[in-house]
Amino acid sequence: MDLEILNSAVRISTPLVFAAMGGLLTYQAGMLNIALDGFMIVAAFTAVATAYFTGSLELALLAAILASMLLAALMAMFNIKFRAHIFIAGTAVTFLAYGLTALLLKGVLGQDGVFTSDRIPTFPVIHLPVIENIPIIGEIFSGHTILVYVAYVFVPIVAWTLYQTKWGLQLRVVGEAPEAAAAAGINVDWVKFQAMLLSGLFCGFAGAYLSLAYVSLFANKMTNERGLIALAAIFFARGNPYLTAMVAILFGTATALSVRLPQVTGLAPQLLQLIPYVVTVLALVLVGWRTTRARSRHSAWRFDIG
Amino acid sequence: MPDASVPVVSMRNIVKRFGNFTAIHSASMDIRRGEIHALVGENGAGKSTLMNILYGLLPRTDGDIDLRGEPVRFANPKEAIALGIGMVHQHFKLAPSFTVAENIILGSEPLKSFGRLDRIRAERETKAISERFGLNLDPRAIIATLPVGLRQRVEILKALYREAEILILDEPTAVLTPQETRELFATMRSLADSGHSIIFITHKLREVLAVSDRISVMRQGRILSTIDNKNVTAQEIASLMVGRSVLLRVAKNEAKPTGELLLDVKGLTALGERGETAVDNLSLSVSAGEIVGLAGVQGNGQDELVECIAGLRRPVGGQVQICGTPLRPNPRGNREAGLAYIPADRGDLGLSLESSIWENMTVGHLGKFKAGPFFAATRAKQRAAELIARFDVRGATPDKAAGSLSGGNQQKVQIARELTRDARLIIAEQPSQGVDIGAIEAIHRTLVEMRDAGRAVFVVSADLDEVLSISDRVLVIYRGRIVANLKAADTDAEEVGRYMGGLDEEPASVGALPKETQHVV
Repeated sequence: MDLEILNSAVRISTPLVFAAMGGLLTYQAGMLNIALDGFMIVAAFTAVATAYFTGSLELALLAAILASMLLAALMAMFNIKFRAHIFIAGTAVTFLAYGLTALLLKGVLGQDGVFTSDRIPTFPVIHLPVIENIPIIGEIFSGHTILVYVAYVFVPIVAWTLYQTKWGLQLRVVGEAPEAAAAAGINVDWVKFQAMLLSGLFCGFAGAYLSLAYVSLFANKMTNERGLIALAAIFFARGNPYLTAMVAILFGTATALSVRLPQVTGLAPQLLQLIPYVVTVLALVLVGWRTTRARSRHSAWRFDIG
Repeated sequence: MPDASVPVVSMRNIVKRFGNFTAIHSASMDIRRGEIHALVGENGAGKSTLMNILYGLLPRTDGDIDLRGEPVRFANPKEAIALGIGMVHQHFKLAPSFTVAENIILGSEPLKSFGRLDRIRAERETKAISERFGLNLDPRAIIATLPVGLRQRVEILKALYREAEILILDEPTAVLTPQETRELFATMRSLADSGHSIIFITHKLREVLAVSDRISVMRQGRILSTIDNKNVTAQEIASLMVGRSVLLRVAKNEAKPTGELLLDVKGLTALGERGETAVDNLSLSVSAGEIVGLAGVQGNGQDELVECIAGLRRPVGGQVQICGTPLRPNPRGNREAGLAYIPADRGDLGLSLESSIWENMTVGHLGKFKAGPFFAATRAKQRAAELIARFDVRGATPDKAAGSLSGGNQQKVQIARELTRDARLIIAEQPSQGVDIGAIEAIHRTLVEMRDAGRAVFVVSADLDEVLSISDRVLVIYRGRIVANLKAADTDAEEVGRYMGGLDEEPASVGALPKETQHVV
């Protein structure tokens, strides 16, 4: 087997890592953010549309991030200000995002389903000096777009922020014991709002990457439930940033395999495309097995369903 | 003592309304520098509401608060904290998976450049402040691993770290052993001597008399009076709180146990949430016609024991028989065997607070209201109305939500449902927790009636006074084992307290107890 698979695993994992970092902040702040897909799809559309009309990648990225954060602000308003259940708010925001992008695709770009154009610029590939020349490593890690490197650099930044800064401590306490945070004079709602906005920021990167670097087009629902897979990674790693990123990469590698294996083995591609989903389900089964084993071996019946 | 005549806090004519409901009518209270000021009153009298207003958790509808002579109006606790007010809540507000130091500095973190936490300084300052006030704590200990008494120290240190001069303690002794309570009182006294003012919310009158300088009594949203703690008796304060004289001891005849064991536990062993041995080869029995009280500091295996008996937890060894039927790890089977269970956790295990009172009273009795394939709701509601009258549930109609009732009346709903079942063994867990004095009397009277009707009553309570006043026989649980079996009439709080703290070995006179076994942690 060739290194091509690993190289594409790095690319394919990138949006998962972005989305997982976004979801991780809300997870640590005590919110199950199921709207990651919604944030990403809006960002992906905004990126393509802005790039098409202005020809500027920088503007496209900026617009994608702003659009995603705007949707995150809406989500935060539903959940934090108006106290809608996060699941309802998340579902509503995701559906809104899917519908709105499909509508604008028709209305603004005049296309059904998919939009692509030669006028859309794409992120150039960067060849890392020195590393490029190292065998194997160079082949895997060099020659990606800038956003790929940004994604992986975000992981230690998120970890550092969570565990070394005042803001990170407050965010984690807000997630684990909101009443303790409130009693210590922390504005719990404001911290949660910030976490949700940052979740939007990361999903903005993820969406822009999907439509301007990974491919160069916009398609309806093109995020393909990557947000939910990112959530699975977060749960598997219990919110640890490095482990979350590693699980995201594992899922990405599984996808890379499912793309590559049909060419190599000649097996039905439809079957092999199941691989990433099977890996996700197995990971979640493991999480479930681990928690029930830790919790219910000797413990009392649990009635909580919330 | 420092100049005690100038009030540090002066609250005048405080009014608090929630919609149409007036929680506080007009409350005025002065706190002096360096005093321990007890605020007593029944549940629902407005003590916590008043203190939450002072602490900035609730806005007030009307009235004035002066702090050191300056009028103040806090929008949130942060502003109150900044001006030297600290509050230790009844339910600790700590983050369990974080360290002592992290919890103490939370909200006023020492920082290095770039907003980084200065962990070393945090730990050093935590160490320093705990030594200064004589409250020893390891700054790196994880909160979840600490016993309750130490967690309370963390809460107190949290307030002191923010340089609180006025410290509000909300029911601080509820979770402590008598020994820990004495230590807390010593701490309170030394804080007061160093110029701190302490507001001590409680309903335990013995403690009020033991520690406070002045006492304010609150009833139905009003502060009735503030008196010096001189020549007052518990009886006088209780009468002020309730508005009539109350019996502090339960009136009852000598128990006549028949010897028929309705609850028989033999060598029961069960593990706790973290896999530790919570109930350790424990044996006990309760006979028809007696009330047996289980005393012990919270977390010594009471919860696990009761969960085993109720069928909510699977024991790892031993036998339990309810009315002669062997235990099944299945709540329904045990209820059918003759168990009536009144859990401490009313809002979660005991009742559905969002459902109506009649629904809450009907579950567990569904068989009585069969009408062919349908359910006779009208008859169930009629029965609920009768039970509301019979058990004197105040402010209730069958259709109201159970959550709209006060704690004491919710307790009566639970009791009405459980005691009207055909069950000969009654387990009441913390029956008077969060219940006001008037209702406690009624609840205790009901339990005594049940005993006299030939049922077996097993009361589990962290409130030593309650255990002593209601029980015929007192068992003390310590680290999952019964360490004492005493006749209630022949013992006192001091003796039981010693057993609760694990300070005494088993007395030789106790029979029918398991022999000494090695305790496994």
